[in-house]
Amino acid sequence: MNNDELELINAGVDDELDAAGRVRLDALLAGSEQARDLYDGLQRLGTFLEQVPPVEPPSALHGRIVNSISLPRPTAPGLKGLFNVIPGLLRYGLAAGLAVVVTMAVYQGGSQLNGVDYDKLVGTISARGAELDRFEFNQDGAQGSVRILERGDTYALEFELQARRPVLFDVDFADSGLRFDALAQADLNLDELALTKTTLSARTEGSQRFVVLMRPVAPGSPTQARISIALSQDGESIGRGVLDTGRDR
Amino acid sequence: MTKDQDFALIEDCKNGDQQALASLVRRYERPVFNVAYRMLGTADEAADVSQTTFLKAFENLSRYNPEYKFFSWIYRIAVNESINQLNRRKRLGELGDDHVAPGGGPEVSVDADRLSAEVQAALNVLSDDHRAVIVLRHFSEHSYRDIGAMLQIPEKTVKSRLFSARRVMQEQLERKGVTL
Repeated sequence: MNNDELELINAGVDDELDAAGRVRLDALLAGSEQARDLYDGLQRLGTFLEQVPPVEPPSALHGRIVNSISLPRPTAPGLKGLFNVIPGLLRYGLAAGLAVVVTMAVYQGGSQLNGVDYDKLVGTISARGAELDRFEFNQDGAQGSVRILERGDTYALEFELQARRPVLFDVDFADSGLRFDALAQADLNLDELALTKTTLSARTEGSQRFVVLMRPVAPGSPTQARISIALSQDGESIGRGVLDTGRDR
Repeated sequence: MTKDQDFALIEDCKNGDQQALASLVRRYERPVFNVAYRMLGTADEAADVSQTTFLKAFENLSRYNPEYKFFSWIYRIAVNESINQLNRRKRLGELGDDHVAPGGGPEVSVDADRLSAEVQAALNVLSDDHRAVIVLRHFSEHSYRDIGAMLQIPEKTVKSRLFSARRVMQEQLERKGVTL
């Protein structure tokens, strides 16, 4: 047999022939016992190899791989440049001695919904208001809670955390009818922060407390706000929850 | 998972999304490990190569061309890393057959274990190039086109290497008394 015939037989075994190739192969097999023997032998080899079971990777391999990879810092698409300055401003504000509890006055100064007002990203805050829902977590040395509170037209997400290792919070309120309005914090700085008007990602450790303030996208909305929260350490999920205002406005 | 889903996860990874990273690793760690295992024959080395494969893939994520399939790219890295490891092994002194892990693990039956070991022994006789095409075709079930893309060789070369590799494997298995 020539090389073309050998390749034809191989391609037939691998089911890589088009209709014309299939016709040529059938003709070859019909007219050559040698070709039939070869074809059958290759098919038997394929069948034999199919019986070999896949090997399960060691259970620790996943964590080993994920922990060895350093991704870029979380960023908000399209807003990266704008919002990267926020942690610096937070530190500046705190260093300036705004240790006074600013409470809701921080954001009551005429916030507009068409942009983030940096002046509101400083200070400490006591998020007063009616608690609507709460999500608690306690896993792998990280414990704490996220509460949603309501005061007038404003909602406050209050985060409290005690963690030995960095915890990444991913908060998504894209479908809630709410949008980011302001951020205030007590205690220590956040290690990393990235936000858009409908998402927030923060990495922090130790003893932390910070508050995210949100307003309705439009008057009268939301009818029922649902905010998704995911927590992870070293790429592994340690908690996931949904906070719900649980009421029509 | 589709090419688009892979692409979306990759974009999320570029934005620092750890969960996207975990999803992508979960999706491909098993096939990458199996490719490395069949190329190398030992679980420890296969785990090392799997880790290096993902590390290199993510270090070079900016070079990934989304017009091509992500798995083609990561399998290519896995095969190349496996061949690099084989070369390192050769420099240090070839392992004998008795160093090659026999098979899957404690949950695998004795017959499956023996089958796996016999096949691995036959694979170990092949050249690196021939072993790569056999592993990608028979243990990862890729098409000629995908194998060509992964190994950056023409499809015609894939065919000819497969043919030669299969003949050698048949001979090896028959020599060990395996009835095909």
